[in-house]
Amino acid sequence: MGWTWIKKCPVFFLLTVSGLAFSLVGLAGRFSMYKGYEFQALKEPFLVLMLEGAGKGVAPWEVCFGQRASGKGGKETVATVGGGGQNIEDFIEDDSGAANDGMEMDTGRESADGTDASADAGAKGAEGTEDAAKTDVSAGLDAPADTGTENETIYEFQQVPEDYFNDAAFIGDSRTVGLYEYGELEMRADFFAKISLTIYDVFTEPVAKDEETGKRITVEEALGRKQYGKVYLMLGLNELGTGTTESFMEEYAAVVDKLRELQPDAVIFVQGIMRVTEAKNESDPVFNNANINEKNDAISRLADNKDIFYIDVNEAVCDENGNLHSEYTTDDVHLKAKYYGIWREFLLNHGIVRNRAKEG
Amino acid sequence: MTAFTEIGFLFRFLPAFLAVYYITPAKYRDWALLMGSLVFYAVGEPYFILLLVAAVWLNYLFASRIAHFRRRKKRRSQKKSAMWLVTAIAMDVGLLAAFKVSGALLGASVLPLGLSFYLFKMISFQADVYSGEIRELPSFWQTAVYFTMFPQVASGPIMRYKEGRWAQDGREYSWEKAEEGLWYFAVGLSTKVLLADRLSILWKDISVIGYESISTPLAWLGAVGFSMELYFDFWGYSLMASGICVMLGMPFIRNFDHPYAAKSMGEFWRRWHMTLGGFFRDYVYIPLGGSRDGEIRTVRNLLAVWLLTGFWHGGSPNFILWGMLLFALIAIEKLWLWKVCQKAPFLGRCYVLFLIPVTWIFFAITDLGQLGIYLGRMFPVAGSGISVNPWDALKYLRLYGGYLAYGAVWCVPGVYRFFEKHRRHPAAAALTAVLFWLSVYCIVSMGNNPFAYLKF
Repeated sequence: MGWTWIKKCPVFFLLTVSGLAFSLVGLAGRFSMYKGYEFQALKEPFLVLMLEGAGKGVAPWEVCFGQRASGKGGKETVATVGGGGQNIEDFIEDDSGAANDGMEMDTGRESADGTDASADAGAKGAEGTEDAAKTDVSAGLDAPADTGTENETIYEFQQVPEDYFNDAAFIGDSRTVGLYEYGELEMRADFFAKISLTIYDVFTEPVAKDEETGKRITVEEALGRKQYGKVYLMLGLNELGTGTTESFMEEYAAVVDKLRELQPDAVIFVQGIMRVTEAKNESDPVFNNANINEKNDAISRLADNKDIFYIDVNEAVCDENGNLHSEYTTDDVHLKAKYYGIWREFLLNHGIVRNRAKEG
Repeated sequence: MTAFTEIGFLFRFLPAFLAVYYITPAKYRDWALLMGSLVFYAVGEPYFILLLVAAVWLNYLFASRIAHFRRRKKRRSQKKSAMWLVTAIAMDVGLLAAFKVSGALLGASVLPLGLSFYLFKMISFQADVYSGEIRELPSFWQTAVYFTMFPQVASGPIMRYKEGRWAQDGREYSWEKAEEGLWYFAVGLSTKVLLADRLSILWKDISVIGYESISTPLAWLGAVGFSMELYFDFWGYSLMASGICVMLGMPFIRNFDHPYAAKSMGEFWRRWHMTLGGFFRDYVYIPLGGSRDGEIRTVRNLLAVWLLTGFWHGGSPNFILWGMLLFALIAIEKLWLWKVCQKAPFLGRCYVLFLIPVTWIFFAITDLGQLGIYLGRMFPVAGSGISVNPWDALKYLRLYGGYLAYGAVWCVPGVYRFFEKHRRHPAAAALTAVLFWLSVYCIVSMGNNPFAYLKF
């Protein structure tokens, strides 16, 4: 053996040496830099750890520098739900500037302090200049947030025309990507959606585009630059495998607060997560309707029916057992293109029109 | 573990098996191979391994009858020999048909792992014993090794018994052979994982949209993507299987010869899944008379081959349709177009590259209604789709264009040959290693994190 041997079988040599090296790194880092990784030593070789770490940006030579913050592993585990492996990114190229024509926002206004939605409440007087006068009864939502002080108007869902979406923003995961592509709303509304977007990375993923420079920006930046009349949010499916409903809702409520802060005048629609079909529901331990319904119940409680409303498209796309209609989908999760119209119609039937008059 | 792309196979079974195999003295390596193969199969099919063992045993029993009566020159003995051949083939074909039909009736696949492949090996064995191609009946154990060897048991190649010096005493062991086999294996793995598996997501995405809502360019993009996916998946797998055989000291069995470079449909099918095509050629087409007895007989023989090919790939009607479509194309070509393809190879290539994706759509979509819708989107003569996003093809080209471009390059025979010829050059060896680990990385990031693949 020796040099001539290596020349004789270089691939064998390279794979054996690298395989051994990767295994040693994996073994050495098992309880340090790869701590917290899901790993079963009996089932998998140690080099798996090294490769997984490399995918998360942990360079193998770091094993020589001793302990790495163990927090890294744990935190990254959450992130991989969306970003594991070779990402096929699915950004929406939102080129529409069309949303501007519907803008009737008072952009000069300072934002209310985001944490308390009711800070705005006083501004929404009961002046019946627009359709708001018609609204009187809450749409049967169990909304404990509705504090019900006498002089507050309670709004009701109503049919709205298509131009209602001219000042709307949609935030969501692949389902919202589908709505963008096949819901025929793309010329009116702005969409901030991406496959596998979660409530945890909704503000940090560069899913929006700066209209002037064309650069990728985050939803936070995009919402900071432009004011919308309505913000629709549907997130939570990808998160079903991580954390508890409590931890999810903590984050969800924080996102809604942040939206309130960034978009003080917008009606926020928190949408129930669209369910999956019966077949998926019965076979999947994670992505099933019991889990979805649990999240949806919790999300619905965020509604105050004043400026945050809960809408649930499942009313329109599910069968009598509450499962997604099987003929509406081929993968048990996503609507087929031709059925996104149902979702759009549902949104058109669930518009909220508020009296826009500011005091004065 | 029965898929070569699983971590358990790559880093547990295969290295452990190779170590045991090479530690075992050369005289006893068939035992190691037989044991390894049985373990391999039992892990994948803990119950159906009984079927495999029974099929091996019965086929050997029948083969020994065939050989026994064939050796005697009397006509009665010859007749008996033929009778045993018919019995053996009836059993093998019947077994295959029973599973295919019940699968089609139940609407779910109940096919035991590799059944269509190992039964075809058995049929070819019987026919070769009968015809005298296999002159001396080999020992039971050697036959069992041939039928069950793990690199080929799951998905071929359908190696013939007389195809090269694969038997224990003919094997060559050397570092060069090990290196060669490992190279085929690594290249096959990356072809499958880095190209076929990526492109399979495109095909899935299209079905999620719903065929009625895809634009015509996307329908074609999907057809091209599926054509490449199918090729890279099966070619990659075949390279891995033959690579393992080479590592064990056996000859390389070629199953694909750059089919997309073919200049006619007939040539395409001589370059695609060659061991299956060769099987039908030698055991169906030529025994029926081949193309020697005039045009009508030739067409009849082609029809038989393509009906059987369609049925072999699956019981559902779309596979029969697919076989009939290919029969029609190849018959037309054989009778009239062949000369044109010979004279104008460029025209021939274009016609192959245009038609093959269309035929694969018949192969890909099992539901006839959906198949009609997809074809309607490829050739939008009657009506347009429903809620079609006219720019969808751009989006998917942006997402998968890179894979399609690499795939197109990898379909060029010269590119592969250049890589193969210079595989020991340091740069080529390094590239092979990088591709190997990239593939393993892709497998790990999907396998270890089930949600990574389930992104909504």
